[in-house]
Amino acid sequence: MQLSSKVVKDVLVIKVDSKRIDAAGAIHLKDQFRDLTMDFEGRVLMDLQNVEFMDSSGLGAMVSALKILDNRKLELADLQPAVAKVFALTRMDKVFVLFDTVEDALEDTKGQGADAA
Amino acid sequence: MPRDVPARQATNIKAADSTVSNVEIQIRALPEEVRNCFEQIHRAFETAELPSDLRINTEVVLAEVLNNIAEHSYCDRPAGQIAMNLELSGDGVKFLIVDDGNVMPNLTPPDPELPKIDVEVSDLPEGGFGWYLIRTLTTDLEYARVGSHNHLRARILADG
Repeated sequence: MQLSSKVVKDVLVIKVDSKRIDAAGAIHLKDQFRDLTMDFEGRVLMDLQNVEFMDSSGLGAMVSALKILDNRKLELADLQPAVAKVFALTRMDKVFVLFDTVEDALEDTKGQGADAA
Repeated sequence: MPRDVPARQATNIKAADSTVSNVEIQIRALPEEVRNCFEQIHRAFETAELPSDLRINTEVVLAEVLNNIAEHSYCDRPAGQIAMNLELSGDGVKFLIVDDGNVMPNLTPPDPELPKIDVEVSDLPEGGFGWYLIRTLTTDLEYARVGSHNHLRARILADG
């Protein structure tokens, strides 16, 4: 599990460079996410373009990441079909703020997500 | 390895007008082995020419079943053996998964409700989704204790 981050337009963009967020990697995601977000107080966006699969352990790690942000939302971009399916089946798509692409998220200056018209 | 190489031990049998592909896979109940076995399962998807929604549903169900075995059935015995038999066709994926671990409580696989998500962020569930996903995406789920083995069978369906 490898995360990398950069700040774009005042948004911390965290890219997941792993194909799977699963039981073998979930704990590392939580730890690295905490390190990367510790000193940042603005919007946080995770780029999930490279993530082809997520199991319920990975989903649990995403919820842990959201809790680390305290009162901030966790924005997610570019969910691949299997990941989008797991979010939809568990209704977690209502808990996180989802965008089709990182660019869409950065253009949405309020960070309200694809559902907000 | 090229993607069009059939999964090892895969055999194709023409049944009616859809191809059925059988795969046998044995792994130890370790997160890394669970992860790696999906490379072989992906090759079986290619061989059987499964539609993409059925591939996704199959991967979700098998990942949850295998994680459950590692975490619960073999909780006091790491790296126990798991044997999988998959029968893949465009109509669905039948599986039999056998392990040697602890007996399923009440001899019945859990059938939980979806955990509540309209709660404070600090109260959001971080687990409890596994059996919900398995139950949602399968039909004819059966568990049996056979001697010292657990047998779990079901059929995974395409969407719709």
